[in-house]
Amino acid sequence: MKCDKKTFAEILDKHKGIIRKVSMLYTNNKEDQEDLFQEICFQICKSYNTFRDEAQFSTWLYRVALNTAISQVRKNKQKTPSETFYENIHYSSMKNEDGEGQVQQLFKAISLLNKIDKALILLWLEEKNYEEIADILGISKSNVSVKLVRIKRSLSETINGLKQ
Amino acid sequence: MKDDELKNIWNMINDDTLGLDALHMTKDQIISSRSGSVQNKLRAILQNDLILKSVSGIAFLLNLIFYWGTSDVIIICLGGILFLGIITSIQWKTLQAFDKISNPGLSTREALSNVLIFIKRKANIYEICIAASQVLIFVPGLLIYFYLVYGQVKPMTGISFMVYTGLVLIGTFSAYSRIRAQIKFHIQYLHVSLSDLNENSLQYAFNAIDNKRKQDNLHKILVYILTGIGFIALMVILKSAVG
Repeated sequence: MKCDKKTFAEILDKHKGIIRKVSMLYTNNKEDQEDLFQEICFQICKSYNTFRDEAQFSTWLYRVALNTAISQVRKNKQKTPSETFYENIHYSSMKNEDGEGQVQQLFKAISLLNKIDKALILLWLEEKNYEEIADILGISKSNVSVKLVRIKRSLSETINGLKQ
Repeated sequence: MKDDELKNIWNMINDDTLGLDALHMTKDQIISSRSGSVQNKLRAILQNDLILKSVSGIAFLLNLIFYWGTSDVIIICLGGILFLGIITSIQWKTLQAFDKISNPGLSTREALSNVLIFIKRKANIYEICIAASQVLIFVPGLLIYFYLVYGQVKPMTGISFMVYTGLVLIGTFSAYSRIRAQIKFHIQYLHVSLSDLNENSLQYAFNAIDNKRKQDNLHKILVYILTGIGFIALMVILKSAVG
């Protein structure tokens, strides 16, 4: 299968949301975010011929997006997202009045996780089941379960700390 | 905080809040993207060095024209071109093999392990090929310099011979050290990521590296011999110049 212009436009149109979310979770500023977004799109297109129909397309896409994000080497040691990072989120579109604060706290808490834990929590938040998460990351279901308990506890503690 | 609460917050982020309605990107636009991935950085090291080797090839060819009729120099240039051809072919094959193994569509463990196994196996080839570029640039560069300034290979004193040899050794060693440090950094980065996955991912990669290493020994010996020949070629030309 070849990634022609039409196919690329269709993939991007359908999956840009998840690509954007991955690029937001793995970067700390707008410039890096745009770079990673473009790199993920590039890798999806470049690797499109390796996609086999036996796997779900979304599973394959998550793999490409997360593997690309995990393998990005940044010299920037800044751990928490910068102020400009949040400019990409249009809070005015949220129905919940507290949405802005809650989303920022969640992103800040996730930004403190390591790259693999970020992938795990992202997949869980995106309603992937344990089997799918295990398949995407190449680890066992039991490991997914154990890790997610720890990550969720850590996220809750961080968010509670940020609220106070 | 309950699971549902976390998911509810996450679900507030959608195409509207991400401002994606306005996003229109074409395939051509993303081709120009720059990437800081381990794979791309390792690929770039080999690609940039291949450009340097192309310059070396052109310089050797120019020397063949400049020194046509001077048998010693012609022999050195032909030897240099042969050495360059073999080293470049090994480097080109390494680059192609790297492109084959770096598939982001695999599971994260496989994708990271594949790259780690590859660079652990090929680290020596990377280092030697890139260090060899210093010799391959210095020799024809020096010959061109002699031609442009003196119109012939300039006879050298023992001191000059030592200075030139020293320069090429320093250049080769510093290139070797630099690339070694870069590869070490990338290996450490991959180690950390694989450790975070747990489940003996690192052990799995190490076992695979041990198995593959045995197959690579012949390849490594060949590269060592070729590099040695390259260095001897440098000594011969400088020696003949002294004479």
